[in-house]
Amino acid sequence: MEVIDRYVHAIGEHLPWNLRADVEAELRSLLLDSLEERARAEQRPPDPLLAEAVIREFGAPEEVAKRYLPQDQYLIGPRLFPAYQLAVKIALIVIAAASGGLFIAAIVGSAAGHREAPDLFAVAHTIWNVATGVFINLALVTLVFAIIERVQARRMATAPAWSPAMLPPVKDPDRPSQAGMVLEMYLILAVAVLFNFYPEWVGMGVVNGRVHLTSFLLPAFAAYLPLMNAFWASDFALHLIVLRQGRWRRETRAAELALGLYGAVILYLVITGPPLFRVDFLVKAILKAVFALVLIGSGTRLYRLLTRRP
Amino acid sequence: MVQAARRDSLRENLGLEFRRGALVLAVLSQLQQEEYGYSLKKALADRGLEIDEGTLYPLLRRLEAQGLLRSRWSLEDVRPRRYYRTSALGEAMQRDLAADWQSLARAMERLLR
Repeated sequence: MEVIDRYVHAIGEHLPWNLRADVEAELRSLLLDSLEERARAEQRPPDPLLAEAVIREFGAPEEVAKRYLPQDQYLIGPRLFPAYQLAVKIALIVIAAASGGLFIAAIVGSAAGHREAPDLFAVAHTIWNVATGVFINLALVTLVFAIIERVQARRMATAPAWSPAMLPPVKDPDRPSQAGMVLEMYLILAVAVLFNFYPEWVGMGVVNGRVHLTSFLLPAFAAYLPLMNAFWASDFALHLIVLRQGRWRRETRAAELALGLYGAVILYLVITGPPLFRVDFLVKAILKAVFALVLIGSGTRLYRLLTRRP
Repeated sequence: MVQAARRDSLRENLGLEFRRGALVLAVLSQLQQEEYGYSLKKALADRGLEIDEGTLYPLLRRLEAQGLLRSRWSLEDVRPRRYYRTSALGEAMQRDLAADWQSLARAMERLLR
């Protein structure tokens, strides 16, 4: 019966090669048994219509094939998924930082080459490189985790027995990581020192294959420094207070929110103000995106502040 | 209308969930003697347990892969057929699961009284 052969073949297509021939032979035999039985019950000879009724009851080929395969097949299973998510985040942060540097270098480099407008080809090329970098790195991370998943599945049988002592500590979002806070304070200081005392170092250009330190800040930028210094000083002080208290409290969370809004105001003034950068339109385009992120972040903080239980 | 459909779907899923475990015991209990897929399906149906073919046949393969069944091809019938029968491990497992089942059934009986 042709329809049965086609059905069995369609199921076989979804099965691994080592199972295929055997399962196909058995299914064909079983389907013919069912067909004969049904024809006997209905007192008519087996025909394609009856065969179709039998295989319809059996189910869609991919569904039937799935039942023959080992259960719980994952590319990356629930056991490894949190680590996979973390690795993806780290990879994205590293790529974003590296590509941010490349992007600025491309913009400033083309500006330092005394062109009237940035070299759009170089900028597009950089964006393409970043996109390919993101794709390849995420593919590599996924591949590594998929291999670990396979290896771990084999080791599961010999894994030590689970015990409550293995449970990870509960994450407390109000308890800051000391190392993280210290690193952030260091970065605030470094940025403040850079903008106040070494503005000529803000920016980096590649001209004729050689790296040049070229500030992309225009003199008008200095007018905004007092506002920024107040922001950095407040942020540094807030970090210091939280570090001394050992945890975020409602008051310090409110101060963090207020500081975020103050930062948004500074960004707004910079974006709407006179030209401040050598490639003003591009830097301001980036700052507009940062402004949107700051507003979203502040909205999220406000929501948490209003809805979180003490 | 939507609520009734949701209730039916939930009822079906929950029913399938507790039938799934019972099917293994049912199959092991009927394979003390050799049967092929279709004859086993009929034997179970004759005793009041209807099993969908798309569920039963893959289950036989899985139980065989777990060492609870053994099988052989027979070429003596009208067409080649694969016959299954419980292995020594399958027989021991059937006794253990039957004891578990009876204990559970007694507990459920008390709970639902």
